[in-house]
Amino acid sequence: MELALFGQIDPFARGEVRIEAGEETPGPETTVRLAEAHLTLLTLPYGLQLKMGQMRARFGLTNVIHEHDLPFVDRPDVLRVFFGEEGLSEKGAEFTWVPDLPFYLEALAGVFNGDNETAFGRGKLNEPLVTGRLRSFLELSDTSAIQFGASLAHGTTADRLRSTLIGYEIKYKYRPDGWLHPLLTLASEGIYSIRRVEVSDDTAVFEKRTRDRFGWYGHAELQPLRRWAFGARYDSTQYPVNPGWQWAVEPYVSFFPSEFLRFRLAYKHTDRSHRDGFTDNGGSARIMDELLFQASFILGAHPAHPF
Amino acid sequence: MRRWIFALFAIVAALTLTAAGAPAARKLRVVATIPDLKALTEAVGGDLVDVDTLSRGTVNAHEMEVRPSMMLKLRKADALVENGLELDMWVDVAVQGANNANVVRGAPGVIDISRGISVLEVPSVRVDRSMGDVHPLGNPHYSLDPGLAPIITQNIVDGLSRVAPEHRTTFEHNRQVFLGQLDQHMAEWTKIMEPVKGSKVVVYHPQWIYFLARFGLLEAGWVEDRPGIPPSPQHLVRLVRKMKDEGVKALIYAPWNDQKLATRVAEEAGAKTVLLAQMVGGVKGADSYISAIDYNVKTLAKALRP
Repeated sequence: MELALFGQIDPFARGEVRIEAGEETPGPETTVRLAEAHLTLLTLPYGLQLKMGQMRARFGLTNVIHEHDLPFVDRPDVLRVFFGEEGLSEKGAEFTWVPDLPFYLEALAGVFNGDNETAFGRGKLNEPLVTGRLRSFLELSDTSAIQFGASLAHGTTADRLRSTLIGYEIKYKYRPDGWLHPLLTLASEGIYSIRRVEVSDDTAVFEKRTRDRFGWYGHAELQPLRRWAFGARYDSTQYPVNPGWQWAVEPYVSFFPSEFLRFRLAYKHTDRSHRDGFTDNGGSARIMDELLFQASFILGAHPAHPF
Repeated sequence: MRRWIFALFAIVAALTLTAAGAPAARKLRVVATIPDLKALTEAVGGDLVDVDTLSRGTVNAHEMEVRPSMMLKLRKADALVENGLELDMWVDVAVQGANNANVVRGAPGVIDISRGISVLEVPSVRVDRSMGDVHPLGNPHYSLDPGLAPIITQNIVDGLSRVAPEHRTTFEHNRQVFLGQLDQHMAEWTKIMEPVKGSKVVVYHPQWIYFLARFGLLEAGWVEDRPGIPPSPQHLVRLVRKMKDEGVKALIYAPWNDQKLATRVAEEAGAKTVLLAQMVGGVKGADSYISAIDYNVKTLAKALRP
């Protein structure tokens, strides 16, 4: 469950607070946590904007999107593997700059604590996590458009070793004239991780090495009817430190009785090179088949439809 | 840490130098959320403005997809003309991505043209989603009524004058010229509609009430039983029966409505389907505000004539 409060603070700034509640592990216990709390200064000169507070970093297409708003049931494997279950959510600030050009370009620079334990974890401002993103957009016609971009996150791990992640993103949408929804959506994003790690050999001598790892996903969705959408996602990723890989395929169907209610049913088949580390949720097997069901509803204002 | 502070200063300095070369005198760059407002702003602004729009006449203005291309248009804008009454709320998301202080809510360049409009269908009971996508502030489709153009254009004059006060006289002059042309057409439209005054029509989505009220037509029902929610079969059966009982001759729909469904309902009820321009550019030939209203008046009058 997510409670979102947002609005204009004064003529200069906008605020947003999101509180999430749910079970972290199966059982009766519910955890409540602050997912985001940030303000954005909207009236800076020269096409600048500053967002500060706790936020989901704008890295790639889907990291910034909350679980219930994702175009699929679960977060893509590549983001979960490289950033952890919660994604890259940090305390800090993001500057964006939209220059006055004939085409759309958004440049972003961010400075964060680097609390994310999966990718960084140093958590100190004197060795901050810095992020960057360039995003552009081409309107191919009135009915189709493509967005693409590249992201960067560079920080320090808890062992004070460098960790750099470089991402790409691309998304295409085709919405026939007069349609209330897109007919076809194609998207992909990937992360290339360059990470220094400390390894020991049989004689317990530690040495530092660099791990270059890659993961990506591709997503296609077809929505021929207003109430029904059919899609599939293919995931393939290596692990950031340990050897091995996993791939998964996830077809799904969505049913929308209205703008405010959505049901989604998905089947996910995951194949790993070896068993994952032991967990008590049964999701550690080498081959895993899951049936996922999601019901999402919105109470409140009619949501905008982002590209 | 020092390195990052230096880098930040370097970026700010570079941006300052880039912005120093901006041109001095140019037309006002105005962005309108919907095509009707673009047309009316062009009528008022004349040669002093360059107006762009964020949507097209063939799409549903409620359901706009916020594209970065909208942000690009807003990035360069001196003013933003919006319909208000929650029709174009999506523009707030585009504004957030445009990084332009001129169009942030509360800025002088944000022109809400709903000010002073006598809004119809304002709910008198508590509104919730069980009623469908009801607008709690009332029906926002007032630009379809040419009789409200004097108020709308006055709001545009006032808004543009906040941004460029030196041109107020010209804006006011342009407005008077436009309203003069509109008055001539209004006399013709009233004459055309006179024989069908009092006729009942069914509409697909409740967006025509201002237009119908202006010309003395009555709205007998909706294809959508609740706004924005696809109709149930039971509702359609009741609607067809009502259309037959009350002698409804026309079912009005917009380009984004389900044409097959509209046709099926109309055929079963012995009525005609009438595609009208929900906005400028909604149908072929409706490429100005006056031509869009002209098309709607003549097409509907023809369908309703015995």
